[in-house]
Amino acid sequence: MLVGPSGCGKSTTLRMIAGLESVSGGELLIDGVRVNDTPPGDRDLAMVFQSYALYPHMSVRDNIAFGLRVRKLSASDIEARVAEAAASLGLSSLLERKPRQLSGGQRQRVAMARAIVRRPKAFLFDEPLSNLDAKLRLEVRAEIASLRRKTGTTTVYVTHDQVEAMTLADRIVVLDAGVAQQVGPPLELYRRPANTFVATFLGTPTMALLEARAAGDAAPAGAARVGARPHDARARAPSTPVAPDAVRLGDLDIEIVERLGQESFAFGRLVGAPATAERVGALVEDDDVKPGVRLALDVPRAKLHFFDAQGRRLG
Amino acid sequence: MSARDDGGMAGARSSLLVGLASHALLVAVGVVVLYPVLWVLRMALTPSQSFASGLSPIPTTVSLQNFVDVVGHHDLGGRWIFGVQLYNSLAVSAVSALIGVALATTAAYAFSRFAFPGKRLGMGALLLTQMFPGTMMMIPLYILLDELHLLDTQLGLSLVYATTSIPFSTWLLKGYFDTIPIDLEEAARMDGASTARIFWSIILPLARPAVAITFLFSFMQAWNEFILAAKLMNSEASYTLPVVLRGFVGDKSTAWGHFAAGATVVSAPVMVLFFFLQRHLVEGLTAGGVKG
Repeated sequence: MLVGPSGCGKSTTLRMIAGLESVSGGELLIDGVRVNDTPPGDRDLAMVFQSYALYPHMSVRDNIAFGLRVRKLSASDIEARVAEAAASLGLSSLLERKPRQLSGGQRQRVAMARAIVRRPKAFLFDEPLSNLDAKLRLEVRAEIASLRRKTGTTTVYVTHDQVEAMTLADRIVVLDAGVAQQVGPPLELYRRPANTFVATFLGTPTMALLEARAAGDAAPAGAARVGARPHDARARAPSTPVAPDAVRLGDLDIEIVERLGQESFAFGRLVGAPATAERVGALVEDDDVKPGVRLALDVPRAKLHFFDAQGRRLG
Repeated sequence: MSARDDGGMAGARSSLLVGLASHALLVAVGVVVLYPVLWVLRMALTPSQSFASGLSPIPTTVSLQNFVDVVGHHDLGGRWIFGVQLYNSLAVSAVSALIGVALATTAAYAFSRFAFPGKRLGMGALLLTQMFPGTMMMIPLYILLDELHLLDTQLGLSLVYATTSIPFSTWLLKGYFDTIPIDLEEAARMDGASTARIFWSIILPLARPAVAITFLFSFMQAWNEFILAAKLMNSEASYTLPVVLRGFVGDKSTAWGHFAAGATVVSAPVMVLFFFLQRHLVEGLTAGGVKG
């Protein structure tokens, strides 16, 4: 799973793996074989495009079969494989339709059928859900997850959506400005981000970064910044005593309260912080909290993240 | 309640007026456009060779004699010469359009998709050729065809027409190819298709409207061309129809009835072609393949 902000190079990386973009430096290996100069059709990879890229003048059946026909499989083989792929994605009744007669979710499934029918070494997904509405996105996401379970095929998936990354990935590569910031399982990246970029990129609401001195003697030597995820932080009345395992980072002037139903977050700036400082978020237990009040910001010691002046993780 | 009814009535009345006005305008424009055509038809149907006078496009006496004379024309040897000339026109136009479209589609695809040295220069050069009238090339073309022993042959004239239509066709097709999403080709490349396969199976079917209009344009240009045909074709049996039409106009007298009948007959095939190709011309084939 390649994840990062727009323009970070994740799509370019995927296109280099696919062979649609030439590799400017270094070696690209698939199964240990150098493929830098192998044309895309010979790499045995299948790609699902953000735009679906279905052939508009062909029926769904012909779209799915095209790659097999190019590879000169026998007609009966093609028929059987197309039927199997279509059935596994619930497309059997749509085989004679043209792409323009399909909904967005159906088009996306045709694109996936076109990929699985080839039984490639690996699937490449380029932001496959970004053109779907929120509800469909959930459906297709589940579809992709089950597809991966069923086929067990290696999948390289590009997204800027961290929820997709967290839910679908075995391993995430966080990219920024063309450089891999951290590689690892989703929860590891979430719990132990390697630097401030990864820390603030993953997780909603975003982790707040404060001057390390806010953490007092909890901060290790060399710490420049301290981070706390809003899910870990609590905003409570300043009179409440600090729990023994927690650190009080300061007092917040609450400006925004977001009630999500299951939980509520309060956002505000630390007392004494400049007006340009970013807002810090924390869970509130009291549903009656209103903007304008002042609350203390408590975070369990174990949930604090410390970074040095270069933004690298400490400890 | 009643006020609303009045409003509805007034609305219906005003939309009726707008409808009447727009139809009146359309009829007026139609008359202006069709009047010259009707006038030619009148001359063709009037059994006389004099130039029609008077404003009415409706003939007073109707006869098909002019058509019979023109279409049934035989030469001194008894050969049905009009048939030969009609075949000349059809063959030259079809062959030149086919050659032109085949070369222009491939050239336009290369210009649209590949990066190569001289790409901008090539497109500029093609545009440059459009700035000179075809007649300017008459003498060099004549010498070239003479060297190739293609003077007075259908193939020679077809080649000349194809070369004159290719630059414009290439520009037209490149513009259309540019609008076909590159994703489709990349998907086909991932599917293992070669460039030739992509061109044939993906690009050409999607560019059908543009290819159709290019074919029609090349065909019509060849069909209507007179000056080059008159110079490069020397015998009556190799004439194309525009040259034949010119033959009705004499130094001392002009057979206007024959000329009008000939003009009507000559314009018919293009109309038929347009009729059959119009479906492709209006079809927006790329809808639905990529998002949207």
